[in-house]
Amino acid sequence: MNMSKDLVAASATPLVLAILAEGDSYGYAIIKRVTELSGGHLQWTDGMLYPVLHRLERQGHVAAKWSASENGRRRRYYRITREGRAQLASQRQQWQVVDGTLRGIWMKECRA
Amino acid sequence: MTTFADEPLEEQIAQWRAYVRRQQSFHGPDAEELEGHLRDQLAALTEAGLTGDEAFLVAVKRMGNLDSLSREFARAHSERLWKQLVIAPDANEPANTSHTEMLVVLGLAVAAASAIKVPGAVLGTAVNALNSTVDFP
Repeated sequence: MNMSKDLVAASATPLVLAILAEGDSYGYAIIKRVTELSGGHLQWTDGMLYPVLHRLERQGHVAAKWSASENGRRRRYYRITREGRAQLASQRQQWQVVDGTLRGIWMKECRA
Repeated sequence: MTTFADEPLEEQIAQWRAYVRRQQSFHGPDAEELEGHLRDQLAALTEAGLTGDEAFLVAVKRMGNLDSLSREFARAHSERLWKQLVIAPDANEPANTSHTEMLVVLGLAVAAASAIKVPGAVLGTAVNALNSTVDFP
């Protein structure tokens, strides 16, 4: 399936926040998790995750720190903040409205 | 984030890093973070059986076009834009000679800003062009 760029971009924020709500993580692992969760349908250009993460950091929705990784080099780990959780809850409500609305019309189509 | 015994692969990574560091919108830690990602990807691909060369091609392709990426970094860090204009060009020069240069740069920035302000339609197109570079595949 060829997903529209706009839709992929719009879903990036709630997806990243939701993944970080499962536990602290870093860029490469977040991308792997997205691929896994979407069954490979959401394929990001890997690099583009980082501007998203940095924007979320600037907005105070995530916090980042450098820590040693298992193979000696340091890695930048991200954690969701309290503000980030509030943002995630709000985004979730908005997506549920969109999802519910589309379901409503598509189910009516099925019954017709 | 592995260091590879494969020397040609390390050489390719070094060239990639040099290219990334030349882009003004990436700061040192950004380049380090991206390189860490590239190395994680390379480790996974070579473990899956690809040669160093093959893995490098795939990893770089997945990382995406560095020019579009650089633009996205500039947008995400718009607070850095003025620093790119003012500080970066003369960071290595003595403070007294950089003073006039800074004024020139500021003057050019003001001129550029007012030039952009006038043709509204052109600006609209430019904004659209920027928006379409959100390069999720």
